[in-house]
Amino acid sequence: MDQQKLSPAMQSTITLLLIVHLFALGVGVLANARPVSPLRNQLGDVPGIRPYLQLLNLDLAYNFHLTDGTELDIDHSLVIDGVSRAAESATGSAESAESSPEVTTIRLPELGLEPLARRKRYHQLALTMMPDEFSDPSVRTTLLTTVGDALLRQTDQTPGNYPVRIERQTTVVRENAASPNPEESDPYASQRFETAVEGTLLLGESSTNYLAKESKEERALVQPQAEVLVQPQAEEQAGQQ
Amino acid sequence: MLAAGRRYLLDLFEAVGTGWNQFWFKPMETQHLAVLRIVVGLVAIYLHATLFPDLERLFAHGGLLPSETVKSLVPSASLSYYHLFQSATGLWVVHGFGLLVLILFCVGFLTRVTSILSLIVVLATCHRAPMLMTQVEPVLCFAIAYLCLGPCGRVLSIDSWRRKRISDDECESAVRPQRLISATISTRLLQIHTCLVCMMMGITMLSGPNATWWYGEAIWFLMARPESQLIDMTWLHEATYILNAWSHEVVLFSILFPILVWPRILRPAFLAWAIVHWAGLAIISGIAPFCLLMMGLLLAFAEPYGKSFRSASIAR
Repeated sequence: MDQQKLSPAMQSTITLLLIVHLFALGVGVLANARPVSPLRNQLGDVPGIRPYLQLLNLDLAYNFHLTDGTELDIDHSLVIDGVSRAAESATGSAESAESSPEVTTIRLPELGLEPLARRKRYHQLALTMMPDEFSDPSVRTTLLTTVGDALLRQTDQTPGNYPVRIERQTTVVRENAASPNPEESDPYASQRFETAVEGTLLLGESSTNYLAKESKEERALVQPQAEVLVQPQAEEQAGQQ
Repeated sequence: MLAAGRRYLLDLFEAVGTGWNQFWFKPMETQHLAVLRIVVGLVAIYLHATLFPDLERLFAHGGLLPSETVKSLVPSASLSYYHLFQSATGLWVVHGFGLLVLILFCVGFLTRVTSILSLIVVLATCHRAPMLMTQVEPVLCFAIAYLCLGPCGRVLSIDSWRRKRISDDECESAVRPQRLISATISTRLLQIHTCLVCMMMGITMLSGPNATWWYGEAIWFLMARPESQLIDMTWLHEATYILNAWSHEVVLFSILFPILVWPRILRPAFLAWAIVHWAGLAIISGIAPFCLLMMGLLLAFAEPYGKSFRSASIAR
């Protein structure tokens, strides 16, 4: 192709490849743009198209709306509470630090994490765990459990129950941006941080389970393990009493 | 009547065929692809380098995104060599090698090879952790893929510098063709894909459930996220008309650009508008690499515009 003129055969071949590629591109956009019609959904099943698109990371609709002012368009973080960290003592003694661990919170991403690209990646990760009408609940639960388990083990936490939530930082209402009341105008005021999803991570010796706080339907998504079966029965007995 | 219809169809096919050949196979100059290579390379290097601090935390043994879990959640995630490396040392080595490849691609060393390797590096990163990907990675993938097809290392590169050094006959470079069909194919694909992205952005903005872009409040929602802004522009909170106008401008640009950038007479105006548009979004949206990349893709429309416009004017 590094020349000024092509033979007709070469030109025809390239034309065919271009048509196939452009068709695949169109299929990728039409099949992924939500809401989707049955016809457009079927286009995605044309043999060979999906693997080609997925290989080159073209299997998406490019529906980057940037924001629509919805709850999913703000920054999300994963937060785990009740995490122990060794507190620094005045003497710097290791023994005194171990005997007075500080109970704190793990936040992912940490506020102000730099550079911005890192922060955006973790925001995206937390957003992936948020329920929305198109995502698979079991995928979200698996991801949340896996990430939570890793965070707890990376910080050497002991087996136990750890409250976990996905938190979003709501935006200041434009009319309140100049308000003298910091609760209204400060983007980092406590009321700006809203819990979107809440649950408990059950950290075991070798495995971790996630117990959603809300409904029985969400609990049904949790894979039953020996440690988990004990807890709901105990809660039901406590409720009956 | 039948003959007229047949004649029309024949004329139509001939016009489409001629137009297609003119659009895809008329040789084009290569300078704009070289500049685009540098811009794309810099964005890729930045994104790749910013993954270093989180490499072990994310991908190593006991990481947040273990290999088996990611592959089970996303089947296409298995298309990544990162799954072969789960030790900290292995990850650092393979990631460092990927960074080296991107740097060599950016500076234009063995561009034909490093462009393909760069595509593999970027795709491997995307496939390893699809749940970390934002808007910039999909655009980066197709930009590098199309640059692989074209002679993006022909000028402004180490390859061109080496070629000049080893060439004994200085006239040889004048004899080598400066306009190439591969440059045309690469450029056209970049143009079409860029227009597609803009158009889909515009359509999605207009069809949002809250109609925020219609109400003109979307720009405020973008700039009011303190963890996502480059520069704090919330001092504009009282400038309702400015915020409304900016919101409407974003949508207008997204809808009009894919259509009106094609007529040559309008192109310089739209390219100038596009630069201002993406620069403004970069400041408030927190996706500066994406905006920079979209700005860089405007080079696909720059082509040899200056020469052809002047020649067209002289011809008239």
